[in-house]
Amino acid sequence: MAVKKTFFRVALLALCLLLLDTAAHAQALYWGSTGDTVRRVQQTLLDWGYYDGAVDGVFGQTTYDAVIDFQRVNGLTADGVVGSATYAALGMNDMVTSAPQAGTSSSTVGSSDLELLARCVYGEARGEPYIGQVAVAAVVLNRVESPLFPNTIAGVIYQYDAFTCVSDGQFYLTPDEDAYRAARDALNGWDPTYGCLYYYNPSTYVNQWILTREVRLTIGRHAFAV
Amino acid sequence: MRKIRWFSVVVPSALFVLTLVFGIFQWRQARSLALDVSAMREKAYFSAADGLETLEADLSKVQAVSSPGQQAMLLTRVASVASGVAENLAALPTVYGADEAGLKFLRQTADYAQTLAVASAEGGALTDDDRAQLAQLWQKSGELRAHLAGGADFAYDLQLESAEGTGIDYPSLLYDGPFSDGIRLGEARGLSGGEVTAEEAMAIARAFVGEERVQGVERTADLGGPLPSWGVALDLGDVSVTMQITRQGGKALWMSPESAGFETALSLEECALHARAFLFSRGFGQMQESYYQQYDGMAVVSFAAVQDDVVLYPDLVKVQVRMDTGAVVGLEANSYWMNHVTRERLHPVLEEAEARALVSDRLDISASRLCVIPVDDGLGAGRTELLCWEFDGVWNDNRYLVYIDAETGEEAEVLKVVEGNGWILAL
Repeated sequence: MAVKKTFFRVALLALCLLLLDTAAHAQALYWGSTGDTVRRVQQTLLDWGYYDGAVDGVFGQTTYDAVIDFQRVNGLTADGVVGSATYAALGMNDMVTSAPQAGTSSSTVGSSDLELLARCVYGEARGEPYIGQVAVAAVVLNRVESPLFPNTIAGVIYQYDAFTCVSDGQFYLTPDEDAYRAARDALNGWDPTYGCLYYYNPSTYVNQWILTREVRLTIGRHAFAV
Repeated sequence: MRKIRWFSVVVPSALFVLTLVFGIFQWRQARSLALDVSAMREKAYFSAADGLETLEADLSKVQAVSSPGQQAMLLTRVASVASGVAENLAALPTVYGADEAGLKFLRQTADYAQTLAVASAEGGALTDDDRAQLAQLWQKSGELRAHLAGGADFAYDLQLESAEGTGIDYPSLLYDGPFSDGIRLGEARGLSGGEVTAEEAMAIARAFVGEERVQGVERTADLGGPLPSWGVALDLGDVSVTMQITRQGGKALWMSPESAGFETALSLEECALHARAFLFSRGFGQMQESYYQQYDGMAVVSFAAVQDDVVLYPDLVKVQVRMDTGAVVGLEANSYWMNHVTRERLHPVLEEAEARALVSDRLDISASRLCVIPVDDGLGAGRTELLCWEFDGVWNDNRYLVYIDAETGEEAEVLKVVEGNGWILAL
């Protein structure tokens, strides 16, 4: 009896761990995603002739190819990521978050950079004071300028282990208005940090090296350092 | 009895649980790796897209310049950017056009451009054949770019003769406008006077924004670093703004609204007028607007100082104006405070007509003026300035700004102007 109870408790715990992990990855689907939503996407693509694999709820190569095809045919950015726009095109309107208009400006040159920057800001600093969000975007741009970091916005953001929101998937959430505006302001030269290249949460981060960097500004949860 | 139960119940259960746990860890790791791979591919894709934009622009510019020096510089960049894009594309699955045609085009372009660059650097001008070839390459780069964005298939079978490479440009008003790379090195030449206290800074902030608008003031985080400043937050009723006032001289370094999303009742032109009037009344003197953009119900206009009818591009201020009331809610003046001094020698050696003759005759020039532009001398911290004639011209449906050194007649800089619905940028 006691054994059975323990067994079930452990199994339950394991199940909980499983579920916890899925919580961090919200609506957007990309390579490696699994679940019911993937299944729905696969079924829709199958019905419409883009997909010919198994409807198994696993976003792998075949699903990826099908999504790309679908996006191309429908004039969407063919990046293999199923976000709001793709959901809408698939008719899965319940998955479309109320993505606000990114300002009244029409698409600017290099809008993919704006998108990347906004996602980074949203993933890293949502909930922070607005100026804190501009500061995060400014740090990314300062890194692009600096010889110590990659030369492109994408290079800086996707640099291995540079931003936790990229490693844990929060980067794929849909940014809100503030995040887009913060990205635009930073691209237009607003830099509240005056050239900082790093930021960290002083109450959690314990890396000794980063504590030796000169802090120029502290906003909300983040200390910005150079 | 007990021994049997032990073996038949506990051991299998334990094994099962262990397997389950192991399975979960494996699954999580696989998930994490999948994300990593995804990230790498996305980075390669976006970097390639950026590079292609620069490549197309440079190939376009190279056809619009006439001096071997500028040609050499642009061609060298074409070479390195093309190789970079090839590298990034190579990291992608072939569905993105990283197929043979695209890669071949890029590598050949890189080699070809490098060969031409060397020839140009030695003073040789481009032959007609070269120009024709460059025009074709330019067109191909546009096709590849469209292909990468999900367009038609890309085919390439040009034959290029060549022997055997990073600057990625982002269009500006982004990045402070065409001539300001957010310089934060060196001393702030525009600041003078003693240090102000925190209380004085708060008073300065109130006056700057306009006393009648202020409903509340408080201190916020101060900025450290080479230009230490006091942080002030102001409540203006329906919007709050944060500001930084420099300790030295008590000047407004930047201002930013906490929220936006205003109604667009006024036009961009009207907002620019409001902004210019605001700057004048706050002691910035005569300013000339250069580039502008609009988002979230705000007009964002970039201004440069003017002295004796000469536009001083290093002295830049950007202003954000609410498009419902025309009130100023944002400001960015770092470049201005770093650079603004009265210039001494603003008399050109060359006359306008002489300088105009040095511009490529393919350009259909519509306007010209004298200006000062910052020049990166390549040593990093040191930036010098150059008095130039700026020529605004069109070629092949593209608008270019060509800067001729007013003393030596050399082509100092070329910018490609990109316009859209309510915004204008330079690349």
